[in-house]
Amino acid sequence: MRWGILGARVSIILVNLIIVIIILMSVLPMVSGGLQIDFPEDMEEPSIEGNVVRFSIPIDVYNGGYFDISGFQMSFRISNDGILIAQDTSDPTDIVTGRTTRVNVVMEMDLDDIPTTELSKLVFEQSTLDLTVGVEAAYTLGLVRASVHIDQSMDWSPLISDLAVDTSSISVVPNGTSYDLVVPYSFRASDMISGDTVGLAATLRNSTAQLSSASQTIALQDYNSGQIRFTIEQQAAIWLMAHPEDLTIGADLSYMGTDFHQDYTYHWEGMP
Amino acid sequence: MNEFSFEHGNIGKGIVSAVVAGVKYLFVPLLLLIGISTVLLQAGGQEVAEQVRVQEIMDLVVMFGIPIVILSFFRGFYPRGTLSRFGFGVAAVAAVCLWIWFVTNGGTLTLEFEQFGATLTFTGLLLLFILAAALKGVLYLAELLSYRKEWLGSQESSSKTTADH
Repeated sequence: MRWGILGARVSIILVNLIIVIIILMSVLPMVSGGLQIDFPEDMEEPSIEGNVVRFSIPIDVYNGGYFDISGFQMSFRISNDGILIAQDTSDPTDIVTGRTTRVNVVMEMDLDDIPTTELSKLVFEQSTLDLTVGVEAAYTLGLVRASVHIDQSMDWSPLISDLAVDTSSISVVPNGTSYDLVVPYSFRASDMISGDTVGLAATLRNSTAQLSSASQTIALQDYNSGQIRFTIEQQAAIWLMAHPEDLTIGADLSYMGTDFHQDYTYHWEGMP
Repeated sequence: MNEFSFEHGNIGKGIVSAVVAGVKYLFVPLLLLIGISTVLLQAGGQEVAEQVRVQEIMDLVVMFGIPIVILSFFRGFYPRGTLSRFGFGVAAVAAVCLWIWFVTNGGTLTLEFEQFGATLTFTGLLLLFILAAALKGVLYLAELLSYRKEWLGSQESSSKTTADH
């Protein structure tokens, strides 16, 4: 008996057998639905803490295979027209075989890290963002590693929207020796920033000069409405009594260091 | 005594060995690749076929497969116990390891589409395949050691017979 040759042949057969068993044990559970990923329906809304937007996405992963899934990580990247807005990667988690593991993917987007122009778009403009979600994990005792990414477009609703000044309901109220021009306004705010404060600054101008200005701080609700009260000095009021003209109301909303400006034209008919 | 002399060889055994290697490293892989390519093209997966680089893999199969066939011919051609058989055997094993590595792109498969991308890295598994192939080298060494005396003995007796005549 040639033991050396026999030993080498047996070793080759054993290694080949191990490879075949590993492949079968890896592939079969995947093919027969041994891996299930569920997104629970009770997903939390994104929240804001300070200047950090926090997304918490719980995922239930059932590993019915024979090997643990190690280093399961999710990553996300949000960009707008190629400009990076945020990216984050979850902590690696091991998905133990034979049971369902809840992976709580927490991703944070620090608004301070976003360029001001992009942040301004996020706060005040509706846009379509590019979202890339990636999943990475190792399987089969780390012998196989897979990473998958999906690129999606994501509709982004502005945090503050629908700013309107109702020029048809402007009223003039006597104020001692001068007059107040009372201008109704309204705008909407996202649930995410409900309770935060926003600054509203407004100016009243005619074609030659600024006639008045006003500002206030507003605690945000879903729907916000109020009045801007411009106090018009006596001299300007006397001028306006006799001179119908187009007035410009400039409204500036400021939130998180970003500003949104809009002008409204109001035709002044003269003092009633 | 030249162990690489063609006088020691057996063409029939060489051809058998070359055919076996040709089937394993040329014919079956090419047939599989042509099948995969055809299925992909029929199923509208031309982009997948391009990204998997089926044509390039086929070229690699041929490029590394032909040397394996040639080396296997000489491994089978020379008798057991000769250094020539062992040398060609080890060279064939090295070529097989390279074949496995390059044909599988080092154990990396990357697909990139407009909205989806995936990368599969199975280098660890691939190294197991290479280990299994490399063990053939150990087999050839064991074969050399086992048959060496026998072969040297046969050479001595045949040279004696020649001298007697």
